[in-house]
Amino acid sequence: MPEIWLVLGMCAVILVPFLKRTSVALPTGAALAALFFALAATTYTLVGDSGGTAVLGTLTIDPFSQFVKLIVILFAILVIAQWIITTRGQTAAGDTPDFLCLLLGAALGMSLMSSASNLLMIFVAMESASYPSYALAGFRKRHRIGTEGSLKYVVFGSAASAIMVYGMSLVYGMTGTLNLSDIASQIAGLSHTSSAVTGTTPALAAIGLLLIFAGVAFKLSAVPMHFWCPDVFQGAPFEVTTFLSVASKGAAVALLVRLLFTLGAASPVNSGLFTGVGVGVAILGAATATWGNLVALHQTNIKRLLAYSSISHAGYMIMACSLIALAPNTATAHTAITAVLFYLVVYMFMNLGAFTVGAAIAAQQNTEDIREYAGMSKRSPILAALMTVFLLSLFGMPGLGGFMGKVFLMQAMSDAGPAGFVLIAVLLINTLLSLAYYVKPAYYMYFTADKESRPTIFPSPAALLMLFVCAAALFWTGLLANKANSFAGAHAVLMQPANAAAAAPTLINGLPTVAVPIVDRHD
Amino acid sequence: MLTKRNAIGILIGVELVLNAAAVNFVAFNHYVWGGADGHGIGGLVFAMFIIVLAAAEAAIALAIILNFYNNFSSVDVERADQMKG
Amino acid sequence: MDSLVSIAIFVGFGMGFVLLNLLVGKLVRPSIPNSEKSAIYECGEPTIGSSWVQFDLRFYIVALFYLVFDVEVALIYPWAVVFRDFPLPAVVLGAPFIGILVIGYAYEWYTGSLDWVRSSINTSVKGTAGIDMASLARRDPGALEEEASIVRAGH
Repeated sequence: MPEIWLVLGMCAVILVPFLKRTSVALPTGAALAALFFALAATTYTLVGDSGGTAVLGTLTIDPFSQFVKLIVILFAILVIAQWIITTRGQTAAGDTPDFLCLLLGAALGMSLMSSASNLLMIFVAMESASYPSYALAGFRKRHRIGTEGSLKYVVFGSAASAIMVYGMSLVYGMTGTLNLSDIASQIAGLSHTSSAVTGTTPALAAIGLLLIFAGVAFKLSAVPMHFWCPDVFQGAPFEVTTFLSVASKGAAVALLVRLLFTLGAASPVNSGLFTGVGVGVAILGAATATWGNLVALHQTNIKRLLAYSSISHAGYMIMACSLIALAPNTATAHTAITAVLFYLVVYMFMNLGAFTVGAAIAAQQNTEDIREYAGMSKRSPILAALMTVFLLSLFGMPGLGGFMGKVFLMQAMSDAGPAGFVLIAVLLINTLLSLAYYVKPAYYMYFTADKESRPTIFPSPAALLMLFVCAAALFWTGLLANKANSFAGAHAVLMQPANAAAAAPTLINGLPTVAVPIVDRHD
Repeated sequence: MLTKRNAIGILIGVELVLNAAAVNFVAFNHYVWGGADGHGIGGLVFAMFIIVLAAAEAAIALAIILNFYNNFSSVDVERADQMKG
Repeated sequence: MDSLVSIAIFVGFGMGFVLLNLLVGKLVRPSIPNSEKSAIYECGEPTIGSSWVQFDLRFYIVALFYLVFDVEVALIYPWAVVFRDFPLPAVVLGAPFIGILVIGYAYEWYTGSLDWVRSSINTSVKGTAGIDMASLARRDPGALEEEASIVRAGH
């Protein structure tokens, strides 16, 4: 259970100032130690592949959840490293424990999101991932744009979560359970028994499900609910933007996969409701990818550009998730989940690299405007070259990880019949569209002269090391993709809901039947 | 919730929606399980967690609104228009 | 349905009783208004200004702590009811919950977030954004120096 280590880390980080006030090294060390212990705990449980439940059956521990946790925790470590290397100078020493505690809290919520299999746990996990994110987005207290971003985030986010909880209450009322797999079998039953028999209304259950998906779509920044994403990303400090762009969306994708998988496992083949859900998710993904790419075309702020890019990448992953519902058999679903996991790993390194270059440039030149990257190839050839690698990987240049990620997505789509080919067409068109804005920073860096003769930028050795690691990971996943993909495939295994029910036989109503004296004993 | 311009007003609206969900949970818990002794406390537990998380949410949102007020001297969400596009 | 009817009768009777007494009072009492009687009464002091002023933002901290510990009671109550004999496992289960709250509380206290912000520098706390300057002065001495240097440069 890596989550326990994260909780202990949160406590340790805010306890160390009692030993030595305004120390930066102590809380950072405590946070990193906690994250490494959590990482070790995750890899330890990664070995077994049977799957089980924890915390009264509300958490499902299976290879899939452990893999996502591995990504989230590893990414938290990398983000702290990025923060130390590039932008730590902008954080007041007294704020270090606050920052690290919030980061660990967000990582905790995201880990829980990846294995939540009960409506209550989904709610708690999503909120405990969101609240620290709201605070992190506004971490620069006197920064007007940061404040504005965090206000938008908290207003949209709390509205979305309130709507989601209302949907959960409807689903609970119509199915009488909080357990996801029980809900799935109830809903599968609802769609082909008459409502008079069960005394419930399928329409209300469907509305409830829709509202739950809306809450997840907010975390994914899927298209009708994406407005917060660019503003939050622009306003937040670089390390927070980096963290939110990958970990937050990765956890939301994991939750979407688990929702669809659990719904699918209980549904009869070709059930109308479930296909409808799949088509809806596919349209959501296609709209998200297209809209993100179209709006990214005229962005000039590097954070905003990468924010819209992250919206479109979330769209690609949502499209792949829809295959779980659209696929004719479980093998295709497995291919789709594998592709999503592989994409997530690649996406982590691409985004980390691109944001780190942006942060390194911003730290020395104090600009986020890509037009001011002019002449970067002369002023800092290494940074210019690395940025180009990351952007080309985000576009999908053959030989780099991003290309193989898209290839695996398309491979999964091609197994899914005519609907899959529509998705492939959408993905290809979007990839071409995205080239137009991914080459923009590279164009300014290589083909425009610097008119204002800005100073040369010297990235620190640690920053270079980190960037080279990211680039190496991209080349490795690009050239030896099959190895990485089979690793992802081994972990794209979700526990079958039948096992879940067997593993926790005492579950009634989604929570165990402890002998609780709700009716007071007057003794 | 959707028509308010005052950030505090929006927050109050959100809390109302959350409370609506909590009341739903308690009511549905009664209708699904009919007060069976010791069984079916899922809805009640969920309502409890809604109360707790709503409080946490209010705390964070108020802190952020306060910070917004310090920077913009207003809690009108229409003032949050520095970023566009 | 029976319970609904009895609740309705209860509510109706309660409201009716109050309204009836008010009505009787209105009919019976003499009406001799004068300026001294119709003035607003507040603790014997003459009132100043409208009562619709913005509440001092510093009370936010108090409200927040009330909220946190109020909700804590809401969570502890079922725990206490279930384990009414307080066996050892119950205490072990409950301790981390309270412990984490105490750690957070201690941290806030230690870092000075709970100190009552005194009005400082040249800003009256009743000013538009008074808390900004005051909390800055306490939290971020660097920013204070920045302000001071701007003032110096001005002179």
